[in-house]
Amino acid sequence: MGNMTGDGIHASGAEATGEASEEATSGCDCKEDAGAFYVFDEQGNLVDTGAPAPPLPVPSFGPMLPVPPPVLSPPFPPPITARACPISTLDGSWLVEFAPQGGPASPVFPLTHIRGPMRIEVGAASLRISGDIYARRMPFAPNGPVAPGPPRAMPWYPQLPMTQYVWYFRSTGCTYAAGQLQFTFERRLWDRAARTFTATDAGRMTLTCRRPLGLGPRITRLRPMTGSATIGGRTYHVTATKTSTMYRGCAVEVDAMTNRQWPATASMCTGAAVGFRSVYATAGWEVQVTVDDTALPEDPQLSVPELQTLIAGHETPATDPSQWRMWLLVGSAQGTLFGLMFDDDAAPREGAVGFADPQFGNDPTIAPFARNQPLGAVPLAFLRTLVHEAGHALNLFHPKHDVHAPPIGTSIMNQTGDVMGFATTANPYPCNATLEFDDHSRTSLIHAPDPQVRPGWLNFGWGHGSLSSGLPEPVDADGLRNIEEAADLRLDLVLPASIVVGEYVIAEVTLTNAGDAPREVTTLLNLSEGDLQLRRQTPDGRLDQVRDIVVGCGPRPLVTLAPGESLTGRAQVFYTSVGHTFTAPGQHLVEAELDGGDGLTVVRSGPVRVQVRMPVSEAEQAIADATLDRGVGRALALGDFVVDEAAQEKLTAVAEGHADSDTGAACALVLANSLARPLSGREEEAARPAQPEAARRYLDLAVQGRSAQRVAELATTVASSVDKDAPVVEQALTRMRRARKGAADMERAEAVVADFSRAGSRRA
Amino acid sequence: MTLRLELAAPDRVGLDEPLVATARLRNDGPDPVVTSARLNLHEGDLLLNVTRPDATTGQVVWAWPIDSALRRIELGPGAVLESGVLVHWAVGGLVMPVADRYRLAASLTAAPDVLVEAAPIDVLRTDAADEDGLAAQRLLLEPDVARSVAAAAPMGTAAPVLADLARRGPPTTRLLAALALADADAVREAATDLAAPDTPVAPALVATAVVPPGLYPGDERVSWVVEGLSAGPEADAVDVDRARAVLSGSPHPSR
Repeated sequence: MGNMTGDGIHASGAEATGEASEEATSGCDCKEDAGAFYVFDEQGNLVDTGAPAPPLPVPSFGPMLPVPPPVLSPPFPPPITARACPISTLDGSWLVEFAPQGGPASPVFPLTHIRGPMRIEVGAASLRISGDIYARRMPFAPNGPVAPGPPRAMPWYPQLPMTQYVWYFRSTGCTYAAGQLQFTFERRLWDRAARTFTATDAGRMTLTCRRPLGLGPRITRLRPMTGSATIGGRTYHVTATKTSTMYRGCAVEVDAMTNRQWPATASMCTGAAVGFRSVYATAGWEVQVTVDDTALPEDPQLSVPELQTLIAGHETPATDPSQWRMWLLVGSAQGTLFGLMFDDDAAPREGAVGFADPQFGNDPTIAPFARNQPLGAVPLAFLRTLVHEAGHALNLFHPKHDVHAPPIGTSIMNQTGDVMGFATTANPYPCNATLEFDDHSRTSLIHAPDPQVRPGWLNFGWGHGSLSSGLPEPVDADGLRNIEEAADLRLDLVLPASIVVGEYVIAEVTLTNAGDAPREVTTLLNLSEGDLQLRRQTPDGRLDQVRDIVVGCGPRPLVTLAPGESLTGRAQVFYTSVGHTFTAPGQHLVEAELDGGDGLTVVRSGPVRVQVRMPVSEAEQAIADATLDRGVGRALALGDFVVDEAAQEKLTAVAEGHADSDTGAACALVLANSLARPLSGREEEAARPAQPEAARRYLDLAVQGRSAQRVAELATTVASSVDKDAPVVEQALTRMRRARKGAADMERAEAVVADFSRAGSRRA
Repeated sequence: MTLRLELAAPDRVGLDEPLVATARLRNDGPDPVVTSARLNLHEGDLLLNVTRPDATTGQVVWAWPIDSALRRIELGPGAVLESGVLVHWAVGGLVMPVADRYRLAASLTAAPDVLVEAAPIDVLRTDAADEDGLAAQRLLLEPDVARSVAAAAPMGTAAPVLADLARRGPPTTRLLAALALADADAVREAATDLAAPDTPVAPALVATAVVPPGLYPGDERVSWVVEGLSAGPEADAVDVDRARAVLSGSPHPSR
């Protein structure tokens, strides 16, 4: 492993040939087994060898997909120029690529590059396959298959942008015979916005592995495997190119504090040498360790914030954001801790530390060479701790905490203290430590989905329960709607940090051109017209989409934002497509997503936390009693109570009784807006005559004791975004001018009104 | 098996203070027993499960996975090892984010083949009763603040909020915030206030919930808590000894 390029980590050792060369080393004890037949069950265990079996059924979970008759090869003729690969050839990492048979599915996106890593683990009596698929749409590329990139030297590992991730698959039964690998798989579909797997379905894949005649059994020249896959009711051509005899890779940067040593290698008590790289190799991982700065300033005690400062200041900036990497510190101490995976920020699990200074005790179950020694002076023990902490960065748990309940023992992911618990005077620590991963951790390292394993993606702890739930709709290999995120736009969402149930709520979104070139964007920064939507996670974990109760349709006005310019829009989110939006007490997570305007990209705000609590004071309770009425909710969403007299009565009570609160002011503005104009009826007679005096009175109530900017924000959000002529907006502005609000305040208020009128105004 | 584990907590705790439960490991037998001394969530010998209002159950796993050495202790007949257990922030986020009833169940791996289980307890978390309390409640649910309280160090942008929480609010909240800020005067003052209405053991339990004595021996913040105890009202000498034992991670005689 070494240099980086766009889609993965390149090797530096092997020769680039265009056809991967590999040394056949492992799997099923099969040297020249082209004629052998293997059947593996759902867990990947070998259940049969010998006579060919009928084709595999698609497993019976999720909806049954319309699977066409299996594409089985005819009885295999004797190869002329090539022969079947031995099963051991399958073992390792592959780049798998899909292309729809019969041409692209969408005329808008004629070409979608669907590809990702596939890991085939061939054990002594098992075969397991998993993979992670990433898709990118290329609307302007010519129709047809993606041109192959330049040949790459093995080993390398397909590591692709997180923003392109679409699904994960794992085999549920395999056969391998005469060079043909057939397997069924379950598929977990990834929702990028929710950052989780939200649906499951099943598929089937058939791949044929051939190698040319005439080469010795040890060194083979391996051609890509080709075949077909049935996914979501469609059939795809599949090409799989071997990238490594290992499964995954990660770059590890090591920094060390002054006078502390990175234990590059250590001697086992048997005399055998072991190193960080060799331990991970036992799990099929290739880690490239780079020892960088070995003179970090002395600090006898390192707190978690100090560790976070160190990683921020000393980790070498990434040259390729797709590369899997972590930062390991050889540090001093934090109390008596041996090690810590401290990184739990927005890009979690990228940093861990081993502490060199804490000392072993004098217990007879500690090896004599380690007694009373600092951990850093016992390379085998220190190496074990560093491998262990790096395991946490790859989202491995202590067996005693893992919901899958792997056995507690002496393997790597057990805490040192637990391993010491198994030590004896005859087999003291660290001699009793097993420098290998337990089966569960090893399987997780090889086969768990990329979001779970890759440092910087999902939080520590993810993946040790159920992956996802819910029944899927069959979808094609593009996965769910996972449009790429626009790199040159930034969307900021502002919501109150805390809300009382029944309180009027405004969301503000600001779209900024964060790139260095002008950018055309939609001006529809509202929840009515489809370009903007909010996704909300309720305290009980439910996900929903929040939109206005009014849906507007029409042309999409675009505006060009210069670099650094921004647009702002506001919307009420008190009453929306989900009803009263914030009625469940607890923490809600809300994220805004805006169509980038080009049909290809979206921009997301990132989640904003909103803490919702129940009313406590009498005033809060009285407001909630009135506003949680459905009619009042609709009136606040529409800016008009129409002819709902009960709602009018409650709006009046809140407006007059609680004018000091923004909710009272919002109710007053709804009344002002409603009463300022007549409401047409079915007949000649107005269904509701205008009452301008009353409207003015309510406007006065809203303006009193409130800044012009806040009044403008309230007025422009109670007015429906599809009702640009709502009188309350202009009247509020006029009323505030008369009230002689401060010049700066009025300027801000006018900007808010301009945002509403133009559906967003540009600001530098 | 002569070891007995107890988990204790107030029946009702406002959300304006993090819940600090108490884990007590007692030797009921006539002979000394060697057991793990790692009676804390940090190292994972003590496992805590929480059943949430929606009836789902999850394990409260310390948010920062650590590696540490084995620490054993001998518990004489009748002796008790006691520690605080912070039930606030863990892997996955806030443990008790909303006002409702929760059930807690604890177990301890006293030795590789010895698991001791405590009887489950129920705790009702309630919204704070006044505006100040509600403000503290909101702040404590902020992730950076919650992480800081658990890590006993200011994380992210939490320092100013911790300074605010260290000045006002329930004594448990003040003490946890002061410990995170390593503010000696605030630690002493909060420890004194917390000891006053309860027993000297209360501040000791709060301190050990975030600074387990075996993991952080010699941490000066523990000495500030001891000083706070001394400044408080005259307490039962046995209780004071018990508080000192809790802070040092030592067993004390059962009362």
